[in-house]
Amino acid sequence: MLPFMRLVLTFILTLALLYNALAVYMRFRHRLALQKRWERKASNTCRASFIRQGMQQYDRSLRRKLIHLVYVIPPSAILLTLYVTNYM
Amino acid sequence: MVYVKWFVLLAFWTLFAAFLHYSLPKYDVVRIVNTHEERIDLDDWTRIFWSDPTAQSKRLMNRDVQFIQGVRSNGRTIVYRNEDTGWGWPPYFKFDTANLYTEANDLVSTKTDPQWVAVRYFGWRSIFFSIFPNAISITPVDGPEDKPFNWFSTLFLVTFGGLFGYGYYRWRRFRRDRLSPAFDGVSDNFSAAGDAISRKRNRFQAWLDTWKTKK
Repeated sequence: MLPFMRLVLTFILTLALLYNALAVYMRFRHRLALQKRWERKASNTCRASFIRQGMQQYDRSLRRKLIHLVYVIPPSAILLTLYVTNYM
Repeated sequence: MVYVKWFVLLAFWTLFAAFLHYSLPKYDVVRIVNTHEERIDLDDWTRIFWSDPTAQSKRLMNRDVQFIQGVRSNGRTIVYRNEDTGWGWPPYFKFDTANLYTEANDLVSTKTDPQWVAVRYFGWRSIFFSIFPNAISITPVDGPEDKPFNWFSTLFLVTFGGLFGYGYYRWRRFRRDRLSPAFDGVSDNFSAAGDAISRKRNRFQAWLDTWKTKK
């Protein structure tokens, strides 16, 4: 039981770190893209509100939710390996 | 000095390649001859080549281990161990050791009436150090030449090589675009500082010389 708990703990910590790092990085990337888009297309409107609206859209978007796959994929890989090794 | 760098790189990659060669799954086509169980002493440096199937196994200095003995198509013998890897490393999550043992016994055959099986295993066989590969699964095949293609290891190595190549390429670009100009600036500053120090020293040296009595 104990090695399993250790594995789960290691996974939770690593994946949480990875998720948060990735989430912050993706947000930053989107903000940069918004700035470039403002310069190219909408430089006549207010910059701060353009970026704010864009970031609010991003917060609701599917792309942000997809980052949660970081939590899903490694345990699924483990379950798959378990099945292939033991039951096939 | 350049040799040191190449030596270190070579040593690192050799170790890494050896690690991958040990951990990645491989296939063998054998005829199973027998299985047995043996008490193994685990208190020397080869401990790393045996599993930790349960939590208490870390404390045990000797343990019963199951073995599967086989003969390859070229007539050479190979002996696999049959151990749980459990939740530990390598991440095969093998728990069905007892079932595998039963399957192996079910597939025992003689030389005159051979039943060839494909054994998926990982690890090395060393006669001198008594290291045995760990059999993960056994499937019957039609003949001694019927080795299954090693999809997982191939895909893994290709993906890993691709990722590493991409990372290396990005690192070189980063160095070229961002780091090198910064480093050039730093080394320019160092040279300028060195020149300034030399100039001051030369002047001081010249003043010192005025104290020397000329012959």
